[in-house]
Formats: sequence, C-alpha cells, structure tokens
Amino acid sequence: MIKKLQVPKLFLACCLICYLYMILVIYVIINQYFTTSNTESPEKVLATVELAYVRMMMIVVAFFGYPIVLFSYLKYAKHVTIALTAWAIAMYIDDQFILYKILEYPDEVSVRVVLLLRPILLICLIWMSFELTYNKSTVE
Amino acid sequence: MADNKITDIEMSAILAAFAESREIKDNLIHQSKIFMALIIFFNMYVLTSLVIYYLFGSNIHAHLDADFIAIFDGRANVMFWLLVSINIAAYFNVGFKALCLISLVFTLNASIDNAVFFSGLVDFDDHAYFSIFVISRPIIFIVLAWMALSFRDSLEDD
Repeated sequence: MIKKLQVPKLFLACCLICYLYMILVIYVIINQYFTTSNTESPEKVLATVELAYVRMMMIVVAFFGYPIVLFSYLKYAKHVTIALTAWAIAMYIDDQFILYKILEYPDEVSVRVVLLLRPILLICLIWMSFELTYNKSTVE
Repeated sequence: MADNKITDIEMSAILAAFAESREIKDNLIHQSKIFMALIIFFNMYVLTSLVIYYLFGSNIHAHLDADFIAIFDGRANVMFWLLVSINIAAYFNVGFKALCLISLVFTLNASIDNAVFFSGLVDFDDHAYFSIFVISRPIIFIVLAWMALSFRDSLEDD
C-alpha cells in the first residue's frame, strides 16, 4: 500500500515521527493528573487543561483523517498538510508569544519532553509540506 | 543637433526591462470583480475591528486579568501583520493562497482558543461592539476561503 503511494522515504519518515509525537501527546494528556491545589492561579491551570483537551480532539481527528486523505485523495494531501502545518505553527506562535502568560503546564518530566520535542514536529510537518509541494514525483 | 528619436530596438529593450513590473501590475488589475470585492471587504473588516478594539478595548479590559488582556493584544497584532502580508502577497503574486490558508487556520485556532478562555470570563451581551465581531466571525472564514479560491494565480498551482 505504501509502495503504491509513491512518496519519498523521507516524507514517510517525517510522517512516522509526527505520528509518534501525536501518540505521545495523547498519552500524556490522558494520563496527566492535573491539579489546582498547589498553584496560585487555578483558573490558568483550568484554562490550560481545557485547551489541552480541545487540542487533543483536533489531534485525534488529524490522526485518523490524514491517512484517509493521503491514501485516497493524494491530490488534496498537499493542502491538508499545509493546513495542518499552519495550524501547528499558529499554535506554537500562540503559545510562545500570546498565551505564555496564561498557560501553566504541570511541572512533570513527560510534559517537558512533549514541549521540548514540539519543534521537531514542526520541522517534520514543514518538510512534508515542501515534499508535497516541490518534489516532482509527488507533485505529478 | 543629434537625432533623439528612439529606434524599435531601443524601444523593445526598454519594454523588456519593465516587463516584470508590468506583469505584477497586470496581476492585480486582472483579478475578478468578486476577488476585488472580497479583498476590499477583508481589509475593511480587519481595519474596522482593529480600530474598534483600540478605541473601546479599555471597557472590556476592566473586567479581565492583565494576563488575559495580552491575548487580545497579541491577536490584534498578529491579525494586523497577516493583513499586511496578504496585501503584499496579492500585489506581488507570491504565496497568496498559502497566506490565505495560514490566516484561515490562524483565525479558526484563535476562535477556538477564545471560546475556551473567555466563555466564562466575558459576557459579550455587555459589549455589543465585540459581539458583532464574534457573531460575524464565520463570514471572515468564508471570505478568506473564497479569496484563496477566486485568486487568479498564473504562476502557481498549474
């Protein structure tokens, strides 16, 4: 099935990294015990938790929807990949420059690992977008 | 006195030198009327909302924590620079569709974030001018998508 897809191996490697990261994020959000008792601003923790769950729902949709688009409608995969990349970058910029005062993540190793690995997800998504846009074999 | 008439060869050389800039201008002029209407509406919408935010924003700020105000300010700044980028991209025909897609995703993401953060904190019934923009948000999604689809892009997507 993957051979039939005719996409470069690097694209598939990036896709695999993205999937591993998404699994890690879903696992951390589901298994994270958020508490407001040891914080000065519980409303910020609650806002972070709500946002995390909303984003997780979108990640789940992308997780199951992307392979359908990739295998059935490769023509539209480029636009979907660019949209997902833009969304990931928008969230990253939002978190770094706009929401940084609001978001209060739990001080856990797993959460820190997820945040630390975030740029790798972005690099992979950007690479996938470029592959689908400029690589001749995939464009054709 | 020397003969100053320009020959055909010189004329074609001058035209060739300015061909690229004519192409850029043609690109903006030869867009459909629908596209022109959409981009004018988008400019008016964003600029009006920014003006209203900076004029009346202090009313809504009074009800909020200083950290939450940073969200409104940040989004206003990002939207302004997206507006500038979209206009430049439309004029120079470089990555216009990609920018529309990025703006669409950004506004969708911002709407979801705002719904999460401000659903219990701000009562928009008390701020009619803000309610107008919250209610009309789906229109801007449609405008951005329509603008990307109706843009005549001769260089890309062939």
